Amino acid sequence: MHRLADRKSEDRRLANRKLWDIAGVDGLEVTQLIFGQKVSYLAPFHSIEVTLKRQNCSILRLCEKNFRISYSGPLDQIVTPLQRRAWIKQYDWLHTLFLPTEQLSTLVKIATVRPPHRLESLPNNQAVPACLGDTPVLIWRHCVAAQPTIELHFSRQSVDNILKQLEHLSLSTY
Amino acid sequence: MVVNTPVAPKRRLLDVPAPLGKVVAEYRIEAGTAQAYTVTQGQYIQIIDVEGSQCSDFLAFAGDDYSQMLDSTVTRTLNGVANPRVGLHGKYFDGSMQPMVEVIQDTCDRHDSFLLACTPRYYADAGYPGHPSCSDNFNGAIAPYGISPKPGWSAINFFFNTQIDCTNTVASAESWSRPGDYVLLKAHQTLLCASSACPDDIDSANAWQPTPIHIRIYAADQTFERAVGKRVAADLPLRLTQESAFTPSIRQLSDHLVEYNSFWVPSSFAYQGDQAEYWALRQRAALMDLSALRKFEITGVDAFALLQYAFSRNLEKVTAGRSAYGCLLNPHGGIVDDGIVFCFSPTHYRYVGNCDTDGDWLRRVAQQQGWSIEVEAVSDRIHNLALQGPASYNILRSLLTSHNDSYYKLSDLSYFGFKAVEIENIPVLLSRTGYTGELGYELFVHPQHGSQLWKILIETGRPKGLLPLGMKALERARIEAGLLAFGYEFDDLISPYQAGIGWSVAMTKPDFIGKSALEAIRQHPPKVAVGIVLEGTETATHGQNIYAKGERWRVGSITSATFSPILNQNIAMAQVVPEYAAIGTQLEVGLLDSIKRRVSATVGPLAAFDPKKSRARVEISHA
Repeated sequence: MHRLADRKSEDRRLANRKLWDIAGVDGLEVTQLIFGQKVSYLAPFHSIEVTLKRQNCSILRLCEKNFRISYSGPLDQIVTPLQRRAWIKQYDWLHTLFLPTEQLSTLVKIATVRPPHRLESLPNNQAVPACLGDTPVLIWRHCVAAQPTIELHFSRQSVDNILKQLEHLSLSTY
Repeated sequence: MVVNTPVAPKRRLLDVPAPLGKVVAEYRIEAGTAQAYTVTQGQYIQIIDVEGSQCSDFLAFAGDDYSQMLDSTVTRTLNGVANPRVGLHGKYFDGSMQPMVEVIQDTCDRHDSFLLACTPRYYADAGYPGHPSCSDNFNGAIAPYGISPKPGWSAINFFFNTQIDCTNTVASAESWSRPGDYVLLKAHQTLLCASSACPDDIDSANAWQPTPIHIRIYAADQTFERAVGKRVAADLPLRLTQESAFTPSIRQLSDHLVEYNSFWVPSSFAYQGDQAEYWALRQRAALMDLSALRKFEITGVDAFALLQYAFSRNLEKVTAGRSAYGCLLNPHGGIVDDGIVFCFSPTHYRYVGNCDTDGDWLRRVAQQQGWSIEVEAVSDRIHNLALQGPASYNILRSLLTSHNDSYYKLSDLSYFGFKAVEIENIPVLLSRTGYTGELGYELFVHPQHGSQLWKILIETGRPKGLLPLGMKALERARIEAGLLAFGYEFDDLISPYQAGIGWSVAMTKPDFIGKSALEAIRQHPPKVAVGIVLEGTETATHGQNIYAKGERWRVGSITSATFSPILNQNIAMAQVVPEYAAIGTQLEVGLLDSIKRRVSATVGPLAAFDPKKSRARVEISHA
């Protein structure tokens, strides 16, 4: 069962979160300038939780110079004035779903993951590219405002498909 | 039309190697022909070059109507490599991005998937209209399966030696394969396959003489070790990639193993990533498998004389229980290999280097000089771990006992010293050496104790923040520390003075290999090794040009480069002409086409991080 339309307090917390993608020649430098040098310690598909302007923020590194930031504030207004060789975007085709972390073990049963990635026992603050059926997703385990969650990223076009698969397994979303 | 009939299994085939396992079918493809055959999912296909230098093109079809076929462009794109290679990027894919076959073993490691199987048009354009071709032979072989003919088939061209040369031409030359070379593929789907023995006799592709190919199909219910065959010398046998004593433990923690010097080593570890491993090394401790190093025992009355002559250091100063880093030299002053000599006594040394040919080289030198020595390759019974990092001392010290069972005081082991110790009754040769720029130790052990030693060190180190270390993190650390890598900083044409280890050449020795050449080179080496720090956010790569600031002409090139997390800068090791090697000299590194982007850089010490090696050399107080 999914309860996307049923907004509780944690739904609001999660729903307010926006995804910002930063990349470019200076992608690492920009992210360091905003969040500090600790972001350079992240390996690809690893994340950290920080605070920016008193709001919680999750930073996921996707490659050397590529970051995805989950943040409810206007991050573009912070990045653009830096005038570096990096862009910041909100992909309008990218959709997010949140699952309770207890459902990771069920997700492991239906998701396919290619080496070298591993989904089983996925530690906190790590993400894995996977497929649910034929649908590519990014499965990200991290905390949002200190609350553990599983965050799924996938194309908007796949929403129905993903929801059907999750319903079939009786997985509930936030 | 070729009849798809397997060779009778009991026929003795004397011109091909013995089977690798349980054979379910065999096919002999005569020179200049092609044959179709089917395999079920999970079975293995071995394509054997019977007489050597023979190309064999390969097609695969899947699906009820054979609608899916091998797609080289999909394969290259998904793997990110020019040709699949055993390991993480070993699969060939169909047009729907599903894996069809996977390379499990490959003794040639030189194939093509850029070009079509040879076509009638190729021969007609060359003045041979009507010459048989693989594409026409394939058309005939697969026609009974209802597959429409094509003028040219996109195939995997096994053993076909091609490369893209500096004129952007796809150049081909004689195949590298020897008699008996093969590729072993695993079928990931049930497939219709076709293999050829290419009929091309008008150029060097098949050494001007087409010869047969032999196909074996192995049953699905068996496994084969993944391996790449490497040849390093004409007089040495093919070497297949092997696991070390620690690899089974490592495989529990990583699915990303790569071939390095004929060993499977981890690139990085799952749930960690190279950044975490790097910081563990720099801040706490890291453990890595360095069994790919080659070890040779040199014994005999003239062991000292041999190494004093062949190795760059002055071994008069290297007494029992001490070791020294240096290089084996050739007569023109080039580096045969870099490595460490361990002294057990004046008649017993161990050389630890990189090359299988080191032992043979030492034997030849001894023979030429009339010296009485034995050189024995002992890599098969000595595997080694490196435990490195500021916490490595604390992790190890509680574990050690010496041979008489008394507690061994690890603080007594000085830099480049070594000692036979025991760790929970496991005999270990422990040296205070390393390849990271950190305080650290290397542990040499018999493979039978490998997994136990790994477990002990991991469990003892875990509370202190120890992580296993992969090659990606090691590469970052060794470049920061200014440490050399074969094929990057040196080879047999590069002297120690150019490579940055001129300090390791003991010119005061009365005679040694390469002395006269090095005396001349030392006066003005063509290039010298420097470290450079780049401005900006872009990382250089091996081979990129270095220019004098504002000039068109080059002064050197990058040998190794990385982003240094601890320095938060892009750094590189480089070799530049002496006139531009002074500390503080401003240079430019050419990125992309060297014109579109030039990045300013400043010359510094070869080791950008801790150039005085204070961390590796740290004196440990008695505790």
